[in-house]
Amino acid sequence: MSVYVSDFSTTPWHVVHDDAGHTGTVDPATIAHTKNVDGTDNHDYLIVVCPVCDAVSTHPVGGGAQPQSVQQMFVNHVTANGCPCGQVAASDPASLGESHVRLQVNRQDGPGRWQLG
Amino acid sequence: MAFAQVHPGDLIQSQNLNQVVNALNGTAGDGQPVLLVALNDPNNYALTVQNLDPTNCRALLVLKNDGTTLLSAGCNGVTLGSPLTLAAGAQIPNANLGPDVARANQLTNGGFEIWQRGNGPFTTNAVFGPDRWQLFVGASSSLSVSRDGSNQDAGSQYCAACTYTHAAASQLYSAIENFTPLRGQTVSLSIRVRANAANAARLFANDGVAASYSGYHSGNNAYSTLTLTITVSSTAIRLLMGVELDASCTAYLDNATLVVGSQPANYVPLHPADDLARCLRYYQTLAGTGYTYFLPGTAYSAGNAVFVWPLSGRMAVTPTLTTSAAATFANFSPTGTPVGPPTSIGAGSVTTATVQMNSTGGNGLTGGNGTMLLSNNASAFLIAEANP
Repeated sequence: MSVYVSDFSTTPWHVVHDDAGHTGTVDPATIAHTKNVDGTDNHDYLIVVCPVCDAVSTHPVGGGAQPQSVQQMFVNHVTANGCPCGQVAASDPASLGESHVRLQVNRQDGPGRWQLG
Repeated sequence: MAFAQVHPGDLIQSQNLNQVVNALNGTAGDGQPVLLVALNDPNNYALTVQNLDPTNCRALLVLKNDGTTLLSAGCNGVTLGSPLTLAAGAQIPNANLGPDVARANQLTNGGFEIWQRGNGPFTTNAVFGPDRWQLFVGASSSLSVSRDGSNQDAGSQYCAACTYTHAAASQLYSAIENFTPLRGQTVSLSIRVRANAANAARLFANDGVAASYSGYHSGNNAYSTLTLTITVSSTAIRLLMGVELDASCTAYLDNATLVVGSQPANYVPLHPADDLARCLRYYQTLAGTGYTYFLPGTAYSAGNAVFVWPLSGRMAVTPTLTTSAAATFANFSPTGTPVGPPTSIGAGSVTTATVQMNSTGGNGLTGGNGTMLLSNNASAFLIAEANP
């Protein structure tokens, strides 16, 4: 069971809370990284909140329960906001952000986990 | 009729000789009617015997000195006596194994016994119903999958009940995590299927290169075993195996196996601990009613605490952690009472082995003290889900 983005084509994004059967929309700006112990953002995780029941899914960059959707969400997030680690700025080309996310995926779950084209 | 002894000096009567000749010719009533097809045939066998009696075709019986059977051969098959000694290096190839010879099942939850997400009905495309079994609902079709404890196969506890209205082909399938070592190998899928419509339910396999299908269930609303044997492509990029529904029906699925080799295997249940352990590799949950103790932790201020969930075995990949709303949780105060709820709860970091969680914005805690994460009501849950 998880809350994940099912459609990125329009803003706000369409989300599904699969086992609960909930659907709705979330503003991409509300999707945030988790915090490290020192209070900084952790670029390996993003949080999506169900707009219906307030359940919270913390997705790892590797994809967790929904690898294709989650990896795409990380790519879109880093493209729009840059990465809190400082390696990618919001003004950088989208391909740089995607490369950065792919590197994160490989580090977290190993090569072969990447599911975007 | 027994043969008559001919003693030294006896006159041999024609009937004595005819008994032998008739027996060899296969004449009923004169011993067992046996046709000696060949004797010491240099090109074939030293002895070939055929029993011509149409109702009694036992051909050969070899006895030990105590009268017990060493070897018998006839219409009911071949029986070997004891001790049975095979020559060194003798092998029974996979293709000659019976389906009741148990072999390692590559499927997780092949018996459809474990439903950690609930009993259903599950109706949404791409969701999981029974652990590791996922729905694909074709466009404009409807598929409802539920746990069923009334229509299961003999000896089973539960099956998957599928109520299906057809528009485009739909499936209930399992993705094989460990498909890479199966590239280039022959594998056989077997599932017990009961369907009430002909040409509605069949097995399918898809390795990302090609799709293969079994024949359809007859639609007689009785369980039968459907099987499908394929050679997985050497360039397979996935391995999905399950049941495809191609016409409206009610179908019950039970006792699935996927084994290496050309001979399908019957389902042999795992010990429940092993069955569940496989499922926990992909999905783990903690849930409770009021004040169920979930996780131990440490408060680091009056309102905030950190917890660690040591997962039950390593998961397949780093999981997604999903928690119910913060209001469904409570913390355990230094005075031994539930306090809270926190204003937010979620994961800090997640690995395949542990989940670190934070609750913030609560009250009644004391920094530096131990605490617990509790459910505040029956809606509380923690779920770790890893789908490779």
